[in-house]
Amino acid sequence: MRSKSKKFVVAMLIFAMLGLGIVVNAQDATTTLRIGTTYMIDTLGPGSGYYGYDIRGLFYETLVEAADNNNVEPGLAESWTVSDDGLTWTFKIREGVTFSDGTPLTAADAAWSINWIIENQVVSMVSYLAFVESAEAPDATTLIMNLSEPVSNMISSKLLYVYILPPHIWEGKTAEEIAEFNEPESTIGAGPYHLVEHQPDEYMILEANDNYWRGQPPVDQIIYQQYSTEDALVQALAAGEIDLAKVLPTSGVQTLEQTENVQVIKTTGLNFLQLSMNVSEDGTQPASMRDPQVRLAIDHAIDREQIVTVGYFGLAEPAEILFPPAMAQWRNTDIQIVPFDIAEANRILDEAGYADTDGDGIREDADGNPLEYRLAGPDSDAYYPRILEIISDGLSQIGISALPYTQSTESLTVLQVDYDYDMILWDWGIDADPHFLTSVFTCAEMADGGWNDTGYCNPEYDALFQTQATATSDEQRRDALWKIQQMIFDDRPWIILVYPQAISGYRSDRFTFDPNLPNALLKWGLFTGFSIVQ
Amino acid sequence: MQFDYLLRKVFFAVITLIVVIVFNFFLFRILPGDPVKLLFRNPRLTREAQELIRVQFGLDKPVWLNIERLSAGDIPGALDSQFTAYIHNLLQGKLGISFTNRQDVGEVLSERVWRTVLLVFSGELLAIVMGVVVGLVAAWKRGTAIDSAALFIGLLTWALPTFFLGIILLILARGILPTGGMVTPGLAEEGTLEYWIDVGRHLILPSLTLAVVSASGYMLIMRSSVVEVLSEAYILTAKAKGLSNARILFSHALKNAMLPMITIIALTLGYVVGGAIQVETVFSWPGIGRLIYDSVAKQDYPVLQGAFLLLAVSVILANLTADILYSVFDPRVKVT
Amino acid sequence: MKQFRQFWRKPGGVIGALMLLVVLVAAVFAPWLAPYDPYQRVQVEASDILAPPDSEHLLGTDDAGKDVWSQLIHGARVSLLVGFTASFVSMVIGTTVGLVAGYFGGKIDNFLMRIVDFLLVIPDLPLALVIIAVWGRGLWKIILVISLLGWTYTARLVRAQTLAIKERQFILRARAIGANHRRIIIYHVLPLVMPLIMAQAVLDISASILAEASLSFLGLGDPTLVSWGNMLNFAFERAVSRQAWWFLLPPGFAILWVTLALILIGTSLEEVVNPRIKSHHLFNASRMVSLILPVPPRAEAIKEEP
Repeated sequence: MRSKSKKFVVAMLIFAMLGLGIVVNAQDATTTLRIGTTYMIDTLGPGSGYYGYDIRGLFYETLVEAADNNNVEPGLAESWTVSDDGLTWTFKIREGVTFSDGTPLTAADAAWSINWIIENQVVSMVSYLAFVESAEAPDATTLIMNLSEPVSNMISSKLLYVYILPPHIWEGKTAEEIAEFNEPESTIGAGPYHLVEHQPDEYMILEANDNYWRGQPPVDQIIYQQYSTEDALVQALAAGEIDLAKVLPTSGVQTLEQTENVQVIKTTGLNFLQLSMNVSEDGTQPASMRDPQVRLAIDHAIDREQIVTVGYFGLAEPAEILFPPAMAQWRNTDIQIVPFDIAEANRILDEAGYADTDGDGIREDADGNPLEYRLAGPDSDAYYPRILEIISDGLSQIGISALPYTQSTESLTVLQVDYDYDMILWDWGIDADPHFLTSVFTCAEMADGGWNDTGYCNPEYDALFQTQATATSDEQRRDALWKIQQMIFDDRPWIILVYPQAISGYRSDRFTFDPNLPNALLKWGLFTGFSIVQ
Repeated sequence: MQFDYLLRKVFFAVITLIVVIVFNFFLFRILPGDPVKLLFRNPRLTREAQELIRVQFGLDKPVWLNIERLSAGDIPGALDSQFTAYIHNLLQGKLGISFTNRQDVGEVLSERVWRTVLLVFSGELLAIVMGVVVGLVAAWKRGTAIDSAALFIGLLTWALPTFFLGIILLILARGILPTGGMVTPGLAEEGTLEYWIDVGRHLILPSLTLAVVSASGYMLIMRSSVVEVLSEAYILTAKAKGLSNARILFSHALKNAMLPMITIIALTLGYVVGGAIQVETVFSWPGIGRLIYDSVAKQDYPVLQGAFLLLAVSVILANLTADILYSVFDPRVKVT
Repeated sequence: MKQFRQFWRKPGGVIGALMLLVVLVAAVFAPWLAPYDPYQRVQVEASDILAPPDSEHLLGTDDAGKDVWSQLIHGARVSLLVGFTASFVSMVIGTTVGLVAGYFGGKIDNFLMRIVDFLLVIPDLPLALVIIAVWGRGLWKIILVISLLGWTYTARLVRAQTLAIKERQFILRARAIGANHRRIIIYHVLPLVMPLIMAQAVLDISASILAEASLSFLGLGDPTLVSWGNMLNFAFERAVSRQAWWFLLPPGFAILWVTLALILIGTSLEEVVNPRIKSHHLFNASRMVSLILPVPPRAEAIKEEP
């Protein structure tokens, strides 16, 4: 960016002023993986947080664990069976497992954990134990769970998020104390790492659990470091201050790909960008927003290719289906992308009776109300305003006025909860299992604290949702899920815009990455296939 | 008389503090957008847990007066409100619990504040040294090219946006100095020499940025004070008596010019804490400014409330210190 | 008038005025000077994004494929609009408060000065952040926030001047014969304070421009506006990683240019209208929302207290 000599002069000046030299980070016998991130974790402890589930996954073990290609493999449970009525699950718990503080883990601890979560309503985890009434451990290796109704995704999804915890840490704490327990001991589990040091919003140091049941983890120490900007993260990786960045901005890809010893990995993951449409019966949106034809016209007026090019520097693909390609097993591939077609959008609006009666360039509905909408997006990233501009521009060509504005994600969340918006640009990261994603559109989620952000409420949909939840065969579940995707596509509470690529990068001089090597280092929501360069 | 004057100052400082405390409470209640709704969005919180949080944060109570209990004839019960709870907790030194990470606000602030203090003090120290030296030279050589150059650079850096300078320095120092943060995690034990050297390396860019943008202020003040003093009669007398230039500078001019400098240094230190937001953002420096910026986005009102109070108190104290210093050093105050 | 003639004899003032003229011309004639309309969205391909300067785009293109040079010219409009409007509003509020407090003295003075003290104590940039973040973005909101937080210094300055002026013989005589207070203030006190206010207002403009840029840089500007602060925000978040210096440097230097121009004018004006003050309160520690820093002529302020 600037000439070398100037850079040098500035550096000399700076050193001269404080009389300090460069300290070289000497490598000793322990191997350390330094991970950079723009957000790390909010609260320690197994529940009550928004962020940092990848880190929590390193602390605690679960009965079953996610494996490649959305498969599940045994974790603390070696094997399991379910009764014919689907109401009793029996797990065989692995022997010889200990928590990171050395206390042994038995089926009794597993049963205690499950009952404890239910009794104390430990947030996030308790929702995965819906329909579980109780758990018991008749002996040290047997865990029995009693359900009130059959659950189709018990293994494939639910139990992946239920941590088995040490009773001696948590016993006797009130629900309030559980939520506020923020000490390093709260991270004791049977996972491969435990916490050594935590400076909130700065860094976390994790050390390998020597008692880990799968064997000694190959990296002795993991350090998470938080940066306040994405650019700083890119620079830190380029400079070798960190070894791995799991989420990199698209703007950094070009530079990093040209940087020596840095490898960039681009994958299509479990996330998408969508435009949420307020379809609630008691929202504050103009009545025309509830008309599916208007929403279809809007879909036609969005130039997804431009969103990909400008918003993501090409690192995304146009989308329409609720389930991203990573959910191939359940994905309704019959759904086609609505083409960017201004003429068609205009035709739809004309036909639906929205005409520009007063000649101001904006259409009006039958009552004379103009098609003027609030178009909001988060301010957390600079690509949102760019995308909003593209959408707004498209809409202006079909006689819809939508001036974009940005706000903090938190403020937007409140607007969504209150149904006090018209259109909001939003990102979702989702579970591999479609249960949670599809639950968002149910009427039940419209209650306080629910996740229904559009006010979409359709008894037909709710019935399909129930079917997929309690289906006893994959075919039955797939059938319901295909219909669900079709319904969301037709009704458009969300217009799915693009599937962004997940971009990660790592230092190839410190680690190598082989995507074909399963579980070499970190299967726990980090990366598979890491090994250490000698 | 001087005592009266100070007493008055202290009295007004206390009044201001009380107003700040009330305003602080008021500001974060009238703002639109219910932060508790965010908590309720927290991964699938049950109804019971929501109620728990309401009680925990005292949000189940009325804001100002408990009319319900008052109308029931329970007069002391009228004080069972969010406001009285806030005052009560404040008197006990409790600043509340962070909405986002459930940490004690006092703890969060005390963890952060010394980092900002470190940044601001090293930056200001550098600024004062640069400002005093350049200002002194410029004043002594007033009217010459050196003076003009110093003035121009002073105005230039004064006009420079802090964040822009920060970004430029960050880019120029790429690969030479750390890109952000305060320490290299896991490098050294806290408190060891190696640790402090590491902190020092992280400190260079942010404090330099702060120093450059503040130095011009000190420089201009130093210069004009010294010029003023130099033109006064007794300096001319001293010169006439044949005192050396250096002697005049140090025994008379500098001593007199220090008065406005001291005041201004005291005042600046109170303000700069709040102004460190930009620097802390550019350099990922985990101080109070960064905390405020993050908390604004997260609508973490208890943390913001605490941070505002902390900043206000530091400004009030700095003002008071300036007043005291003034009354000590300035003979004119004593006569009135 | 004599003062204005003096102003033109100050080299700093002349240079500043010429520098400001360049920006004014850019702002007024932006649609004719800019080769492209930066508010018009363009259909782009990957190669149009962050393209380095060439004959077609003098300063290259930004992360949305738009011409940087055109944005730079249009950005002058926002900066000057914010600067002039916000400083005008703070000038009006500050002058009114200062005149009233200084002229009437006593309880009114005490009350108004307590408000000023209080506002000086509240951290202004954090407060602006909170207000904008919750209230929502928008140019007028930003202007309002900047001006509401920025009038206190003017108020102190005007008050101190008024205190001195009201003791003058002709004012005392006018009061003695029972002249209307409003008349005295408007026709006798204000004209004497006015030159100082003008000098202060010019300095306030630069502070307001810096404040708007800072807020925009922190992501709190109106993202639909083409302003220098927004350009820097986009550049920092999306172009620095791609080494697009042509998008980062121009808006930064533009801000530097206009603030420097205003400071040169302001300080020269001040030296002309009030040679005694020198550049004392030029100093602005918070550097943020305005020049509100309490570096008043403290010695006077203290002496006046009973």
